[in-house]
Amino acid sequence: MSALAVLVLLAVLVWIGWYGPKKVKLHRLHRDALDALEVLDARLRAVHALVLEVAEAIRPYLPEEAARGEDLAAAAGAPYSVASAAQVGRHLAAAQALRMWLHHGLGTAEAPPRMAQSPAIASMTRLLAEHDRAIADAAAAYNRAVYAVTVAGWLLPGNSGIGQLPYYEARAAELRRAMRGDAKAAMAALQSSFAELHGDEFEQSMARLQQQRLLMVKTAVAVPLGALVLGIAITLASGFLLGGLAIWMFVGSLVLGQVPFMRLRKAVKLAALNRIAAKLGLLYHHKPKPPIARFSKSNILARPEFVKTDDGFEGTHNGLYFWVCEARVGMKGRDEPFDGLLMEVDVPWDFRSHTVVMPRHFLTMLSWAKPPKHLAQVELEDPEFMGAFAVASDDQVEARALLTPAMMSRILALGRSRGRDGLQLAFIEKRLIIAIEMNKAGEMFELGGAFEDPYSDITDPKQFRTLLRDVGFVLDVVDSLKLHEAWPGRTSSPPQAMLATGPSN
Amino acid sequence: MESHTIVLAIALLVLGGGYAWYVSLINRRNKALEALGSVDAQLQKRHDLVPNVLTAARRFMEHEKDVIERVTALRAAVQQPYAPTDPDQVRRHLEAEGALQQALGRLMLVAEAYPDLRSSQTMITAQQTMAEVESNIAAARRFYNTAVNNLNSAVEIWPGSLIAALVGVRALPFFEVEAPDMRKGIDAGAYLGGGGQPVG
Repeated sequence: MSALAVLVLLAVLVWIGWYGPKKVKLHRLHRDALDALEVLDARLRAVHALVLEVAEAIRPYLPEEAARGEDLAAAAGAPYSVASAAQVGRHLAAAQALRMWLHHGLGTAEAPPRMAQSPAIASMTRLLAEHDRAIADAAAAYNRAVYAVTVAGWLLPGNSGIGQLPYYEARAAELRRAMRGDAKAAMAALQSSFAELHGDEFEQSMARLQQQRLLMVKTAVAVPLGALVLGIAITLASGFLLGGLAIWMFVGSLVLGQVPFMRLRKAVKLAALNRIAAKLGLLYHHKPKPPIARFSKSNILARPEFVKTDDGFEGTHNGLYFWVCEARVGMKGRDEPFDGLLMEVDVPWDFRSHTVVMPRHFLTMLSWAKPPKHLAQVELEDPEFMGAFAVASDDQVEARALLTPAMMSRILALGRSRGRDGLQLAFIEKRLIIAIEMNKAGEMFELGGAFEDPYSDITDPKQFRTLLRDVGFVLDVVDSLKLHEAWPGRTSSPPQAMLATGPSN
Repeated sequence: MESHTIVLAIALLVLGGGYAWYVSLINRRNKALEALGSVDAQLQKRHDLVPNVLTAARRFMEHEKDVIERVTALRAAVQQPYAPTDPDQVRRHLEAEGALQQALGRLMLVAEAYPDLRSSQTMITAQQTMAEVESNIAAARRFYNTAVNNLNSAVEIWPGSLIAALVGVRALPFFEVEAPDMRKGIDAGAYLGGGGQPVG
């Protein structure tokens, strides 16, 4: 009984001395995040009034779009509870959809000329730009607050419910507008000078994490030793009735001591990947949600049973939007799940066909390893390409317009460097989707040697060279296909969903 | 096994093989005709573009009537109906298209000397559309040439040649990218001021 009392006392002391203050801090950070959300929400709601004006202004030219704008405004104005992360997420997504509608509605090159020349439209466009700047600042503050809560939540074992707020994420259309230059060039600068990773916020954040880490190292040594001593004392006090207790307490505290390390490791990884992404003008997502349906339609990930994703990035390169993430996808009829990278890059022209490129090997006879049945085989002129890949499409001419000789040689080169058996591509819905199967996919975007030495300095950006190498690999893939210059003379229009109705007058 | 059974088996084998070859031949011809249809669909886009170019050109290029009239005449020529299964007619049709492409290229080249025409919105749009149409034609040509290559191999290799002659399937011409006179060799001397004759 006395041993139990000692353990309970110890737990209470730990709670009062460590867990309690952390929990209080987490609550404070959560409150800050909610305040930031309120500010962001106010900025987003300021746009709603503009939507109604824009809807009125474009109604004579595009009545269906005007009605759609009003529907979106109603959805974005619906009440929500800040206590529910799902509701906050839906609210932010609705606000995002509304802003995209505004931008497409006001800025499209395909708008009817009379509408484009309207002074009211011009003044609204200027007003929207001002709102955008205010929203961008509020969104940055909100995302920083959410990040702080997330990290604090990770470092607090047993935390549930608090800190699960979603990020306000810029989506494709915004990223296209906010192109911050060439991600590849930025990567070259980062790789040549790790100092580029520095920044006040990053340094402060990493310094805090380093302090916690050193404390954890000490705790990880002290607690098992303390548990061992306590266990021996209890064993002696109980007259050897609890003979194995000392060993169990020692081993148990050793194992439990690893949990905070794992959480810290994750926190450091998130901080570093967010920092790298920010320096490259990309957005990082810890648990991305890729549109798997497009991959299934192309039989690239046929009949998926489960999808697990990790570490995703989105952004622009050479003016083209792309996203990429790690994925593990189990499929019916296939023993081993797909392990690798999934990727999508915008194609700068409005092709309408569906063309699939798959490795040609002995597995091609299996249903999950060959193009969908409704696509016809395409026979191209390049024998090396045709030896390596099977091509199928629903439009023989457009398939050849997409797979130009230069494009074929770039895909071959990509296949040679990444292992052609694991490379699958498809042109679908104005995008190029790519799946690269890799043996050690799960090890990508993970910290390398930084954590092997418990006393290494994680504030040194050089510790993140493995992360940089992996992000560089992704950019290399996007860059190697040179989609921005692959189809000279081709043009693209804004997304069809917005202005598919065309001028009504 | 009796001898007449063996003869029957061989006859069945020959008939079966001949029928399979025939099916393959017809499939290849149909594929080539489908590809020719795709080529024509893309060429039609070029034809549709020509009137816009000519309208803009007539306004600014009064001294280039010859070029304009040639394009007009060639456009009319390429729109003449033809039989896709007749290789000679297909060849003439594709050669006429080559000539139209050349004449359009020349018109665009001459238009460069007219700044007003070059900067007119109609011409700018026409040039952008033309670039896109030409890429589509190139893709359709690759489709057609691949299909023709498959057909011609089947038609020219024995016993395909025998079966093709029996059922009246003939080899189709390739869609060459340039007009035949562009294939002539270039005499570097002429460009360097040394005179000389074209080679080839």
